[in-house]
Amino acid sequence: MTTDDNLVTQATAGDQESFRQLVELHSRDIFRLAYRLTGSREDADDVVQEAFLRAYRSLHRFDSRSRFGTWLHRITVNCAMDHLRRTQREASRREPAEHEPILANQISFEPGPERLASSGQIELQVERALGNLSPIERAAFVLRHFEQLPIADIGRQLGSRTSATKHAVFRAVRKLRHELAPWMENQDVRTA
Amino acid sequence: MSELRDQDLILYYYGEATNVEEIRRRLESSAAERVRYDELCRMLQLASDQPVPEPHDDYGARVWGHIQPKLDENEPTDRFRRWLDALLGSLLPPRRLMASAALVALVAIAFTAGRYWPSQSVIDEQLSSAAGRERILLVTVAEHLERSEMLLIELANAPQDGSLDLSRELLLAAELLPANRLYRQAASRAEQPGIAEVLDDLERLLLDIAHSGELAGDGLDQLQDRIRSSGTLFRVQIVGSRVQRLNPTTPPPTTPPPSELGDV
Repeated sequence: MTTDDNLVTQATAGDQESFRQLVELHSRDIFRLAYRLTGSREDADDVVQEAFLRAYRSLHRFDSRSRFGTWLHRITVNCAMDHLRRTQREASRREPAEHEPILANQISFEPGPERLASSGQIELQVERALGNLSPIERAAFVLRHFEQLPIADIGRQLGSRTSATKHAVFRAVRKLRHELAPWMENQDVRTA
Repeated sequence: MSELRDQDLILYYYGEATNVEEIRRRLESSAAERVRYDELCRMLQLASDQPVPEPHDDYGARVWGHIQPKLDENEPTDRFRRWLDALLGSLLPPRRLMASAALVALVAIAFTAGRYWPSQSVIDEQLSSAAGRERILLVTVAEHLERSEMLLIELANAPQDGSLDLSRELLLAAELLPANRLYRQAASRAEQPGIAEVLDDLERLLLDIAHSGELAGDGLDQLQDRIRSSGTLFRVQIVGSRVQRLNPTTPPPTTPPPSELGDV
């Protein structure tokens, strides 16, 4: 039995100290995943806490043949998707400022690609591009690209079939390419 | 020879292409294909370079400090279930146990439906101002279209030999129908004809799927034909993508997106 297995067994029997150790062992990895999925430190913190709470309350449903880390990973993805959907809905219900255009994203006051690239803000642009993905697209992309999970496994995590998961990854890549194309061209000009 | 599809290149990049040798040969023999693939690699490398802040050494302790006081709290749904059990237990005699189970199931279904399907009054309230109308519509419709798109993709790609159980897809179509109807009506009232029209097409398709009974062989073949020939999947993808771009809750892009839904 691994350390995780022992701790899970004891935590399931009600030993909170064992669960504390599981939190200590896994929270940093879970934070990195949550950050990739949400793009914000504050949101990632919320997701990490929610994921551990959900895990604790569901310990009796944990299948001991699985790895605790994999199970927690899946819970985190679900928490992050719920969080992103909730954030989108809440933002949509807020009244915009009086002079703020409703379709504000059609109007850009941002600096152009050249200035952004030269000031090292390309990371910001990548984060914006990721932020334009739907929760499903972002989760599918993050799990394939950063977590390097096979598409079939991602489908199982997201509760969708392989073909739909593939299309979520395709859509995500297509959107990223659309958003990032001007910055890549700009990089080409600068490198030439 | 037709050029490689984007999908092939993406799957090849991730090591999940089924026709690896063919793609490799094409990349070796065609400079244009190599350029496309290199661009894809560079774009994905940009994403890979995104930094993730390293959590502090005491991060685990801080997480524990936040969640530990909440561990003994029950989830609201648990409290609700216990309250309902107690109420039913006190009101109903044992011989009506089956009826109480049915009642619990009914309440649970209504509760779940209430969470996922917006009521007409909620929609009307949220649509009371022009601004609210547009914001709510964009967010909710984007989600709905994405779920519908995934369903249509599943069905369009399902094997006709019956090896895949599609009962889950039939249930999902039935679940999406009432929401689709409400969104279509809301889109008409919010004067969004582009969205209303595609939701109208989608509704007819969802209705056919939900009522198609067993999906295998000829039945599935006809449905797949219908999905392809109607162009609904394509229109759902286009409108879904535009709605998402117009969604005011997404971060502002610095390149102007296609602007009008009326183009659809």
